[in-house]
Amino acid sequence: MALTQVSSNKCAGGFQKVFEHESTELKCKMKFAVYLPPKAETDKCPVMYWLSGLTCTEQNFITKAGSQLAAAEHGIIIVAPDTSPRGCNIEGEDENWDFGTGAGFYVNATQDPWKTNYRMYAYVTEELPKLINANFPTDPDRMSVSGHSMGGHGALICALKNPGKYKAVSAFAPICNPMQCPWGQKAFAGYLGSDRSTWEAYDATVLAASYSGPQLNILIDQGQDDQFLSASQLLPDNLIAVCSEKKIPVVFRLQPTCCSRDRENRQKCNGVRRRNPGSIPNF
Amino acid sequence: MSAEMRRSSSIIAVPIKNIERELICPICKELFTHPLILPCQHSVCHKCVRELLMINHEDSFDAGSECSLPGSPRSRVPSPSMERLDRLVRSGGSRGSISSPGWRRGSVTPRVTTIPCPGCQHDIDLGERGISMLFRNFTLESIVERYRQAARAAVAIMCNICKPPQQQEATKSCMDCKASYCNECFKLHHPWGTPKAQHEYVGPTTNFRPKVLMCPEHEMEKVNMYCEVCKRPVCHLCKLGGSHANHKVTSMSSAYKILKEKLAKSIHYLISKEDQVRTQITELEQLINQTEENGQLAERRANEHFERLFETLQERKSEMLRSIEQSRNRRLDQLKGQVEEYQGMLENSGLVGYAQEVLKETDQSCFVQTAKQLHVRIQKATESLRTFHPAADPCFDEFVLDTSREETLLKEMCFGGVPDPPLIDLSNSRVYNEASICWRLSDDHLPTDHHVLEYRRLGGPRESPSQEDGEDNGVWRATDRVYGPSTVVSDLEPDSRYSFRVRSCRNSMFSPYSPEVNFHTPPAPAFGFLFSDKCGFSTERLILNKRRDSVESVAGMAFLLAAERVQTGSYIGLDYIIGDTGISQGRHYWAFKVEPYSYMVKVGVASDTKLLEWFHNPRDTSSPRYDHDSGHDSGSEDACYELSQPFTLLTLGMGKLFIPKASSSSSVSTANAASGDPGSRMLPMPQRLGVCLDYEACRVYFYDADTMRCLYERQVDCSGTMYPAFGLMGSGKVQLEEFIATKRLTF
Repeated sequence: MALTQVSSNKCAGGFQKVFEHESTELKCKMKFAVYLPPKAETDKCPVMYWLSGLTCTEQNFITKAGSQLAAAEHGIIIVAPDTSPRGCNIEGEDENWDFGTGAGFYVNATQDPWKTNYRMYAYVTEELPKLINANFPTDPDRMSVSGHSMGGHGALICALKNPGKYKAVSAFAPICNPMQCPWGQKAFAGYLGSDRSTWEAYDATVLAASYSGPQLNILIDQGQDDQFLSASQLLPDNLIAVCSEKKIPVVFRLQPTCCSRDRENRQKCNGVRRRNPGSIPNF
Repeated sequence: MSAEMRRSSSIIAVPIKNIERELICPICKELFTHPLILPCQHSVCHKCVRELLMINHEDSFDAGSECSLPGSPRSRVPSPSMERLDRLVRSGGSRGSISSPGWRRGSVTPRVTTIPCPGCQHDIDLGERGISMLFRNFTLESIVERYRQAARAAVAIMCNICKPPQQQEATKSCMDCKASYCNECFKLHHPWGTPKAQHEYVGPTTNFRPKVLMCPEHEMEKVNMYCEVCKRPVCHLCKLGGSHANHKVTSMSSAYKILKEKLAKSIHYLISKEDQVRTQITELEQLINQTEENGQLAERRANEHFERLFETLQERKSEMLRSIEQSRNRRLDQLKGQVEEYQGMLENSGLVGYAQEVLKETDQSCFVQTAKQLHVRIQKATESLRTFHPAADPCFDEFVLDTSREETLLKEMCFGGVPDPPLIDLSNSRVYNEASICWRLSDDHLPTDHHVLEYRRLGGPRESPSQEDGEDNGVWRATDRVYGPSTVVSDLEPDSRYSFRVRSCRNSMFSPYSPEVNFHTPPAPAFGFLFSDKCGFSTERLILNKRRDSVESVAGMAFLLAAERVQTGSYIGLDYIIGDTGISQGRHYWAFKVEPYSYMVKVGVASDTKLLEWFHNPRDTSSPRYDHDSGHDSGSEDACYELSQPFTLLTLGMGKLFIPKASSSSSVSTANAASGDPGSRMLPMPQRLGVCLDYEACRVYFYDADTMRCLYERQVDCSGTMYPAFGLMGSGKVQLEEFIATKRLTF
């Protein structure tokens, strides 16, 4: 459980650090980022776990999102783990951007050759919180989970599968119903096998239908012009339908497109996406 | 310390300043240090309990003293008592040495462990385990801790890490490291990414004892259950096989919830009653003001009294001194005059000189004219010379002042403003439709100004206890001022119970009330009569007193004169006497007393027709057959005469009262008098007997006049005028009760 500090940077009054450790769940060296707000110097702080999307590492969120300012203001520790085991030398792990390395999909794999290492669900819900609580000034009673895209899917299933464990759950453009979308089907088939009934245990929409526990408040932000929304990779409507049936409150904010005020930018932006979707590193 | 506690501490921070009185140890009168909860729920500092134990039991000591402050040297210094105990134990040989440094907690038990709780004075037996059986009061401890910080009473705690010249004040204390740190040192020693980052820390403190309640009986066990029977936390070992094995226990969390709710509710209740509390505070403040004012008033009054006393004394002093002075001057004048007079008798001076000059006169007629008068004076002087008598007495005996009595009185002067309550004299008080209440004054000899009697009705007539007129019921009514030891109250309801009380007044200060006394009014107005001296009773054998309110039966002179011939016995007749007033309508009540020594007395009522027969028929006193009795002769006759009988008489004698034999028309309130058993017909003679005649209803009732209990009642044929009738045989005496109406006239 020993942690090795990889980097430490003063940021927004606190510290943005990256640690490396030997994961017992994933049987490999893992890195995670942790932001320690100024308040952590004097008090124990709540922790938010941030799960990133396809192709990401622990770096994307901490370098791009600017979350440290808000975390410093509210006194929240943010932990951002990597998205999959690394360097396990499994055949084919680096062949696809949406499967294998950088695409752990936050499941515990049951299929060879993945099942030994690809246990991201256990890692983010069990091993990592224990590690964090043991080594940082945290308030173990107050943790929350959030994520983007594949990480949004991870956040949703972590909260739905562990009633009461997380005080809040939110997501940006999450994959809401992976069983029904190409990304999910590809990943689940690979990690969990062809038996679709085993997939249900990692599908937010299915899990929401059978959720029982303390009231869960789900916040989802979704860009209006997200190409993967129109490509039916995200399917938030399915989740919302189930939640309204189950009376699980969901705040779904469909955000106008990022460049709506500027046609030119929008064109450019769309153009970039269209030209090379694979080069956009995080979904 | 959990986040929750920290939250609650921040909430509590505002009102904490006023709670200091709750945080003071009753023994050392300082803020609690390491408070323990005694079985009676009072908290006491750990060191104070120890000292208490030491004081109370010189030869017992606390084997569990290991919990004193770390680094405190005295826990290792063997005290004399400890050595003594050590010797004792060694000589006993059954236990190991305890004065060795290795002695274990609880290895020796103090023998006497009872201390009085300083909070409630109850004796508390700590049992074999002594102090170690007591729970620490963590909650109180942390409140005190917070209080200290809030009050800034704590001395600054310095960082344990940085070195003196730059030593910083500590900002937190780590419960895991048991050390205090400044911010920098804390960060340095608790780096992120290491397990130390999760260390428990609190605000700066010197108290590093873990805040975990351990079971006092099983030292390694945390308490995790709550015994419902003993109302205290227990551990699972206690429940499994310990002293709480058969007790009902609940989980700590539910006990926590229940107690928390209860406390919150109670507090809420108190807070909701804040108005009431404020009202009571206001009342108390008013009381304080009153106390102040009354105290000043009393002081002023006492002062006035003393001023008056001083004035009187001063007046008296000058008056008496003046009279002494006058007397002295008078006497001095007299004596000086006498001296002058005597000096005149000396040669060449005064009278003698003058006489000598007169002797020189040669003109005869002139001489005679002067010498005649002079000679008388000289003779007088000669006389007074012979019978020398000082003109005044030098003795001032009559002016000797004996103030010893006044001095004693003065010395005995005390606050006697409030007189003692008087006492109602039951034996002299009588209650009819009017009440005459007498009371005795208290033993303090000071005279009282007046008294006030108060009375109230307790209950209505027996027949209708529910139908009561509410207004005069239960309300105390007071008489006017009474200046004697008794008074009369009029217009009492018949057949009701009344309560009386009286209080005295002196200098407008009232005494407390006398004990209340209850009386039962008779069922009818009092009927006033005296014995008739004209009804033709035998004046030979019945002696009437002057007031005609008592009659005595005696043998009579004729009988005694003839007694020479009496050898084997004689027949004594029954002599009747009646009241001087008869009853021809209404309900009437009278009461009288039959002397207990009486041989035989018959009391009751008789109609005038019957009386004619008794008093005017020639009587053959020698025949026992001619006995004008109430019909006791035989049962069969009773039955015939029962209803039409114009008289009813009850027999008394030998201190007993005899209920007449059972009859169909009589109903007796005393139990089973109707049976033929003679024993049940016999009652002890009441001190006072009451008779009530209801003319219209043709019924007569006999009462114990003290309790107004109806002893006997029956039908009587009311025809013509009915008279109170009495028959006496042998020695005996009937005393009519003094009537209130007449008594009132004497005032």
